[in-house]
Amino acid sequence: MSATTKLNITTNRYRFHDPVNFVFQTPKGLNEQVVRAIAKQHDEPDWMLEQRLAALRLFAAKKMPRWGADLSQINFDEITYYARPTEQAQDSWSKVPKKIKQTFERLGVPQAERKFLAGVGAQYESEIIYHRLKEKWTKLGVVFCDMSDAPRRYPELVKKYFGTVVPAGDNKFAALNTAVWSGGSFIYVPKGVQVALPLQAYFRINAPSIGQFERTLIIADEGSSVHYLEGCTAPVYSRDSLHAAVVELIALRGSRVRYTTIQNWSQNVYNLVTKRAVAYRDAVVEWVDGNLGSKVTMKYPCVILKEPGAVADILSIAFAGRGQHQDAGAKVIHQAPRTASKIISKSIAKDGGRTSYRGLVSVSAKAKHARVKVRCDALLLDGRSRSDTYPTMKIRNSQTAVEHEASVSKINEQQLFYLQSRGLSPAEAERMIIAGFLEIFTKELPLEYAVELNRLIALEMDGSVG
Amino acid sequence: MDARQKMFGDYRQLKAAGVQVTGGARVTVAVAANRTAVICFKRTAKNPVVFEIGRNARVTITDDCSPTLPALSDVVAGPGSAVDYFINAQTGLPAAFCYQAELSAESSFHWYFWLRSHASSDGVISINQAERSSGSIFGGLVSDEQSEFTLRLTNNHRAKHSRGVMDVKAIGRGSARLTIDGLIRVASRAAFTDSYLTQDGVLVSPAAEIRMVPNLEISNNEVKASHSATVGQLDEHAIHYLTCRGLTPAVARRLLVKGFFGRLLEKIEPPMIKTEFSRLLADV
Repeated sequence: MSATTKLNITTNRYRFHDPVNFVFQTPKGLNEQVVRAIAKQHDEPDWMLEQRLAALRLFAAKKMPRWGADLSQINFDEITYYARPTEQAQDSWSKVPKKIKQTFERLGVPQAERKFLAGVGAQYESEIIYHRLKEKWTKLGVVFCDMSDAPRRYPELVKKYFGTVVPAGDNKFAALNTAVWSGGSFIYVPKGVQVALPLQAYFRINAPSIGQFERTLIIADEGSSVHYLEGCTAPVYSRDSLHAAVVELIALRGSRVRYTTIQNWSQNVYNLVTKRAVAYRDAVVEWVDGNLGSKVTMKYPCVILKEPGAVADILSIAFAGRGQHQDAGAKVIHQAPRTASKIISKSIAKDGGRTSYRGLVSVSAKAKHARVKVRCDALLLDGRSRSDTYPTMKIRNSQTAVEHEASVSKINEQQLFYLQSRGLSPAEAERMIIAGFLEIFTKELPLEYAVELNRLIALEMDGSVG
Repeated sequence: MDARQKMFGDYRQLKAAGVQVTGGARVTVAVAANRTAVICFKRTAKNPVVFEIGRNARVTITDDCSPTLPALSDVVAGPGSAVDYFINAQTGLPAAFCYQAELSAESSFHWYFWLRSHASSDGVISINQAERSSGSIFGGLVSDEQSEFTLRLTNNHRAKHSRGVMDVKAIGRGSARLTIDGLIRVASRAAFTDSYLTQDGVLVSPAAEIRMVPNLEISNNEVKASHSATVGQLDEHAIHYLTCRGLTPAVARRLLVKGFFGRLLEKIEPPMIKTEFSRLLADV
């Protein structure tokens, strides 16, 4: 048997934290004063404050969901809903406060920007601390800015689209986000502009019991295309944090939008996200969703195929280790003829972790000749873990083709034996098989992210053999 | 006439075959160990029926449902027994029905069903498995007119080495609303489970709707568990082919529907049930 290969990987890159110093923070708990304080920090127009206050009332009225993961331990009164780390966002790394800059350098964000990104936003706690879009794209009219600034800088666009895809009343956590949102990205891509390089945002929670409620709004005008990448991490604390984000994506006629997320929150974070896109005629929306971290994730990227020819492609992976529950999935709503969707979900559970795929495919009476394919595969690495699949298909049109398949299994022992007989250690063999299982996802990532993801998976797998 | 007589006719004749029918609020049918029996009954009374199948017994049961009387059956299958139970609801389903099978070690159980739904109906067909048991559910259902029909299927694997297959084919006609909710559950103790669920639906009219929910809850990694679901329409190319050969469109569609359900015939083993299923299919 060969010697075990030592991989020099560690979670230290993500799990450190900086001393907590804020320029401004709201007291713990949620009430109208906190919401008004957040609006004041952003110097928002009155119409946005009105939306926030209406959402706060909805949040109070709505009950916690009784399905899905266990959310009973969330204490809304113990969370700090806004914490500002700097006076203002910078457009040069040299101007970002040293401690915060070091955080993002350890995470590799500035290096990534130099090498292969069209633009970067970095959010620390509640606010964007760095934002830059390369000049080439600015000249073409591409907008990529901090969402906190967008209501002032682009009021017509924000007023037109904000809350139209995910209204405040959609669910309790959408109401919470609409009340206290801060940070996130606002992107507008003009007609016919193809943004060739990805735009990235990186979200970092640093202090304990902080809530992060970024709001992202992406509008791809007719015939445009854009790829948006998002990464999320947090250090480990004994107290829980809450991440309740909302992402609204509007893909107008003939546009193409890819939204990639690699979520690696630490295991004290509740990650409750509402992500939804509307695709118009002949538009293509791709959600590429990686869920590795968090204590609990509930996230179901959704695409509404509103006009003929629209297409949705959703690819997600979920990895649940000890104490984790990844309740993730996908939703596609076919509302028009000749629409198509594909959902592929891969999940892995080990050490007592639980992965649940929860999906919805809805084909309305008007959606003639809709085509749907859903595939869910799950690996259980030991007898303590659990995998669930809860797909729902609601079909109201007879001229439709819908297919769904799912499987749950363990790692194939014959494959393990084969690789070990070629000289790999059991751990290496298992990592290779897992990498192959997830290959359909990693090949969709930019190379550097794919390498990093493989490292993270290898780290999660460490100690799983034997 | 008591419930036993209403449902089983001259039930005393069954005694010779080792089948004891006892009356009361629940009618109990006990089959002695090591016996082989064929039991046919009609739901002409509202009493639930409990079958207690003895060790190593071989039993075939046919159950003719009534659309106006509830259909409730519990079957307890003794160790090593083999039971084939056919639910015939050709004349229509009652508003509520519940069929549950509790298996013992090394027993084998098959639910077969043919269901027609003309009105609202909501029911359950389930199997609770034991060690080295085998439980399957095969059936076809036709949801007609303005019916609202929900069928919940469960194969619950609670111990090692159990096997299961569920295969359901459904047609939605008229403005029917049909929901098929299937579940394979594998408990943490149920290592070496092998279980499969497939749900296929065809909508033959524009106003019909179908909701498919095939679920998996798996708590042991030493399993093979998978499911599939499809929803579609009758193949227009096949209809064209048949009409080119002289069949009318209506006859062509009926032939394709029979072919769609006909795949279930291959899975039905008891000759008596296979014959009855074929006869019912001829009337679709």
